[in-house]
Amino acid sequence: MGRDKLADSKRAKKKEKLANKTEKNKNLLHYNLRLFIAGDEPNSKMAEKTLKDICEKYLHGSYKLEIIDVTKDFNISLEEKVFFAPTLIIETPEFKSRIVGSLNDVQKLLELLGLSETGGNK
Amino acid sequence: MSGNKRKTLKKTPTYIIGLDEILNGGLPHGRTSLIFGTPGNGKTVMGVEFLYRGAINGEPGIFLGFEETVKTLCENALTMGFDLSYLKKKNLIFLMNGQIEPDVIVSGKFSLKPLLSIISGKAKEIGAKRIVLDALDVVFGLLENPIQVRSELYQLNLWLMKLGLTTLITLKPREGYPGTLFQDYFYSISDCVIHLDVRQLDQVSTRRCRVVKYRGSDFGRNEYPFIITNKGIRLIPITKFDLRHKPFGERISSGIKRLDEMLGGGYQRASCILFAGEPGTGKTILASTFVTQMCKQNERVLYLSFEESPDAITHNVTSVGLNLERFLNSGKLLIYGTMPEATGVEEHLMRLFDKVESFSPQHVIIDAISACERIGGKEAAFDYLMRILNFLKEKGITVVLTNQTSGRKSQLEISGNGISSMVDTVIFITYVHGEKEVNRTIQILKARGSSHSNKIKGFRINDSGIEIYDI
Repeated sequence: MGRDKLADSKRAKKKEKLANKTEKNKNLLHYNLRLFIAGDEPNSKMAEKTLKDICEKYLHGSYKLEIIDVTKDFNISLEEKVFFAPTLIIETPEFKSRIVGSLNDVQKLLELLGLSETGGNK
Repeated sequence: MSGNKRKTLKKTPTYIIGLDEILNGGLPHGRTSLIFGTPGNGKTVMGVEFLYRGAINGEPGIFLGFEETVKTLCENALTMGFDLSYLKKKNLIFLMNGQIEPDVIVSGKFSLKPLLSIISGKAKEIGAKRIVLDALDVVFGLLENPIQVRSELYQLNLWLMKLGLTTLITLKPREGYPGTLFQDYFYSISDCVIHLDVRQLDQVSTRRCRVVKYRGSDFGRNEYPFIITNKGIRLIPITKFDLRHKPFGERISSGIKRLDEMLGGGYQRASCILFAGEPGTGKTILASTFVTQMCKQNERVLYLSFEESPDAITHNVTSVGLNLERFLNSGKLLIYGTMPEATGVEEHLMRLFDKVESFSPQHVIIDAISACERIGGKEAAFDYLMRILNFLKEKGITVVLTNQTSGRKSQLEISGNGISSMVDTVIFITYVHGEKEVNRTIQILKARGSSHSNKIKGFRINDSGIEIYDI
């Protein structure tokens, strides 16, 4: 429970920070995205599709996307401590964050990328 | 041991002292076992010891911990003498810290595929035979719903079995699930389930271990107390009474001729003799007389005193002409004084076991068992005595117990702490109040497997020792 609260407050702070940054640097922000997938598992496929859609629609070329299949090389997952698939690791000059799951909540993903249209509202 | 005709299950020994005994050989080979308990019950320690002992016995292993860091794990293991870093360097063990960052965000369903890939990759690399998944509840708690928990757990188990790994999962109960649903999933994939808990009883806490399930195998069904020592976990199964007790040996002298006559020739070697009586009746002197007799015959005696210090004992008995000092000096006698309150049952047991192992006495005196209740209540005293007697009887060691009674001649009180089934001979000393004087009498209340006198005799102590006379 404590963990959730902590995560919430951290998330809230991150969001606030991002909201300010993205206003100015929307197009300059460089996203380094790595999506860890497990072969052709449905959840992985779904995440890959959602992510690609979002990249095209919102990121306008200011990103690098790498798809890593964990079933091919376990050493990368070991290094990055990726235990679940799919896992998306987002890195920008400002922050690093990780999201686990099929990315079924697009709004959440946009928020994480600092592209939320609803702003501060959850 | 149930005489089954079908093929017996292959076991992987844990090499943890006492645990393999109640598991009837070890954990199910190539399958999954579960240790369940609330935090602080010794789950991780048991897991680490399973891997450590496996590795030093030629079975490399993987430790995947979702709570502790590798650094603290190694440090903690070292306090028990388990040098994990060394084994790691030798590629006999692989330690992975699987702590999940608190701000990880979950959105939608996911699988444990990467984790499984890491496990199989590493298992092949070091030739692992064993794996411990410590605090797996942390991982499965992230899954969105019980159905996912069940299916991912099933996948995990299948994967581990395919790799031929003997798996040990440790698990805490998890909130937010109805009843025991969460652990029930883990139970269903586990062939063997062990519960650990810590209980507080009369100010003394005891760790307990219980096997609740073992598919295809018999197991010890009791609760077994254990301790975590600087050499790891130690657990002594307390059942199996009488199974391996040595038969009585020849007659040995009590050191008092008249008493030997009453007993039908003396005490029996490897039997358990109890001296019961009120304070001051001479139980310690009776015991010391026996000690003197045995040491004179060049046999070794361990004297465990709960009441007096070694110095006090040796000094007090000089007044009746007994000189124990010379046997202490010649190494025939070892007096070990300890306060019952000093520690719990387990620690007391271990200390005594260690003394017995290192000194290898032929006879052990415990003076007095009535003090054992101060270890932590009646139950603790019973537990302690039963296990000591069992241990000593297995080794064919003669045991002399003294028990202080309050004066009423109740049979229950005389035999003390409900251990009467383990006691073979009972000698009772009591005061007899005459008109002008108080005398003492001695009688034999019980002597298993031998004929004995039913007469009550006079019992006197003077400066040359004990005297028994007809009345």
